[in-house]
Amino acid sequence: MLNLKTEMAGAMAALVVTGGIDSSSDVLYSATQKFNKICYVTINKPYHTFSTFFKVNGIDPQKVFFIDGVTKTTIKNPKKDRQVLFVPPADYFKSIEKAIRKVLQQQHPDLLIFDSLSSLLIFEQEATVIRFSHGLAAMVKGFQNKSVFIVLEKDAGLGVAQNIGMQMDKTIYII
Amino acid sequence: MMNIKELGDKQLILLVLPSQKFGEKVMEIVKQYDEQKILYVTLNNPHAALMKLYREKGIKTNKTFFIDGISAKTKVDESAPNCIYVSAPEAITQLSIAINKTLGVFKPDQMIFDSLSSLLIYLPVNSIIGFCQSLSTKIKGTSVKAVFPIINNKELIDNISMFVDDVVEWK
Repeated sequence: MLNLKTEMAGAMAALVVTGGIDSSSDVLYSATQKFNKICYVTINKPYHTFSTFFKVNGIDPQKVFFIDGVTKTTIKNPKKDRQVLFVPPADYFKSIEKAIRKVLQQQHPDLLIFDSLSSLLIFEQEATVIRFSHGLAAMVKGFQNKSVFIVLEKDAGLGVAQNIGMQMDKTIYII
Repeated sequence: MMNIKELGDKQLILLVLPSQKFGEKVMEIVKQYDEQKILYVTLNNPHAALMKLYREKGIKTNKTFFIDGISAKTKVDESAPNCIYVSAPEAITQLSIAINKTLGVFKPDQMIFDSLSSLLIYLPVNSIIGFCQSLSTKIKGTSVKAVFPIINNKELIDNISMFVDDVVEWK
């Protein structure tokens, strides 16, 4: 079973290569067992879908603040919640970066989880995603936060994973 | 663990590293050079993050000078006595000026350029070739040894290998 705290010992940033559809839940579960303030950036599934996960696993949802990059792509005015920041679809990448910067500056989380680099490839060309993710990883490291960037195994050989891999202190495989 | 002695006495080395162990391998190199004066050009990790990692890993930084071309992306206000900040990773003229100045003033024994692969994210390969030609000429006029760690990229290796003394691949 993944022990993120142990895996991250001596590392500020890690690339997590996952094989399964729901491996990112394993990452979040492990994070909530050892970290108290987590910022979870979801580009994969909307914020509201996590409520079942918290209930089933008996996790305090207050531990996790979400940056939700999914909901507003389909719902213009989602219901407001203290635990989430919805990213508007306009100027999408800049909006994600702005939201992450705001949370890092104001909330100082112990850990940031970015789920996932693979999902970004749905929105833009690979070259754009590479440039964005390289800048984003640098920004998160600049705040000296621990961070985890998830990528699906099928994309681990692509430029986006290769380039961000240079900035990571460690690669963790959950396959 | 890699041993920097494997790099031999060549002055300019293009070092091909696996991307998923890149950070760890570069850190190993720095650790082995830590008795020397190092000029570390970083386009991957902000200076502040590197300093924190070095402290955690017990790597001395009193003999290391940094040129940081990535902190500008973070928009976090920074200043440090052992670092020159460049306004963007793609600002290669500014980067060249900073390197030339540091080579002359700091007089390092060793330079680590981390990395040409990052430069390739922001610039076309032709610009990088021109930059490398100019940089290698400058370094050849000094006694500084330089290592250029990169991730495997045939286009980059083919074009840059003519400016270095050896291409070494570590897996």
